[in-house]
Amino acid sequence: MPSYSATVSATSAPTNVGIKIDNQQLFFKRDATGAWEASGPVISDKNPVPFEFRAIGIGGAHVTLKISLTAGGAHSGAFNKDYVIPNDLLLVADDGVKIS
Amino acid sequence: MKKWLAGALLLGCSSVLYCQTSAYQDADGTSSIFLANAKASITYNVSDSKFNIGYLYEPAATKVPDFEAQLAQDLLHISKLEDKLEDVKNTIKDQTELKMKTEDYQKKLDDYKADADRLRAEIKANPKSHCWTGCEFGISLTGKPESDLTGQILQSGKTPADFGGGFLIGRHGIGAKDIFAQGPMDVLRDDWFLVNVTYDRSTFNTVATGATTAVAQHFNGFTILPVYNALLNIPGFSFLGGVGAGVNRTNNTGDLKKVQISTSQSSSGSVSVVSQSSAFLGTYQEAIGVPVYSDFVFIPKKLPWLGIDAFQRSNVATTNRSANGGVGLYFAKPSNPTAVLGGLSVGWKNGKATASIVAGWSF
Repeated sequence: MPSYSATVSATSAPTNVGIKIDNQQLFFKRDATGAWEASGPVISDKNPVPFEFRAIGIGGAHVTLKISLTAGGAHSGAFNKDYVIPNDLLLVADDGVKIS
Repeated sequence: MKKWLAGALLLGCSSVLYCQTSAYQDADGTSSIFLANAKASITYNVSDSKFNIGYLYEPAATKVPDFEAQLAQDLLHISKLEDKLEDVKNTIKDQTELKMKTEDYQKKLDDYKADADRLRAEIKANPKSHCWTGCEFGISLTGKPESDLTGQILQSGKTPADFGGGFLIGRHGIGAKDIFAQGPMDVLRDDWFLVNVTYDRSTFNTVATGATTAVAQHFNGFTILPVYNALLNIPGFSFLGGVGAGVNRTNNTGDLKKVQISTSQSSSGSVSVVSQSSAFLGTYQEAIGVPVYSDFVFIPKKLPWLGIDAFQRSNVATTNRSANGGVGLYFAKPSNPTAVLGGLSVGWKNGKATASIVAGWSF
């Protein structure tokens, strides 16, 4: 059963990011680099897993969504995608990740 | 407000954050906007010859509450699977199908039980880590390296020496809605409140008007400045505002004339040997001030690399009362609009024009 962890980083402060998986907010925190890290619920055998994340920042700032997957303690995949905060300062993105 | 601030100080709760002085500075290197742009940043105020180095650290985001939430989910799955397994045993008569179904459910059950054991171990191994989730720790150093820093620290500098440091602590999300509760047209996107505490030590000479000898001064300054910053979504601009009011210990060297004092060491015939030192000419005063700062930074949505800062700096105390203000233009990385690379500002200070150049870098 794979476990899930995700990191979202944004280049512009002030910035907030939250992540949802299966309509459950996993975390809502910020670190010094505008990066977020979470250990989410077990994803079991759903494939792909849809999730939504949101970011707040100055319009034009770049946000990088980084997801790494582990299974049984071993790294089993990675997912990175770049976004740009739009003019309304709030980025809402839906995406999915394949679990191998 | 006092309760949560005290709690944040003592417990390091999840909303605590530390930031760095932003590059939106006036000619004196002051600002009411504090940002967490990067792990570390450097700003150098050319006009004030003042540098600021900030470093931020955040502990690993081991999240016991998440582990607990996952464990609750696992236990729910385990309960359901056990029910299904029992149901299969009671309802399916075909031995081949029963064996296949039983093995399938048993495998899933074993997986969830193994994961539950892992989560219990994580919770046990990190009994207090959740207290630090979201906390950030930072320090800042400031200085005016007009002469050698060693001389400044050792109180042997010849020019107004200044070396200090400080920290910030605060809370993120005061009035702004939770990120998942916000709509596309909401105005208040983000805000935070923090207290900036700094200490600086400086050594310099003063000489009263008409006096013939200089007096060495050792100044210990401090600033305690609570500030509120907000990020607003307004038509055409990203708006970053900051207001702050606090208390500081200041001196009036900025209003005194900087002079060179020549002291005769010896003379022989037409040759005289003199030593020179810098001093501030006039009546030197130290005072407790009440600074009131505000910054209004407009970042055009179509030009995210440009920031326009209208700022105000005042001291509303009875001694050394002042009112300053001005406008600055700042240039940033297009992909990171608050990471200012450089900027310049013009303003007035007690009726006199001032100019400032700031350079910054985040890494």
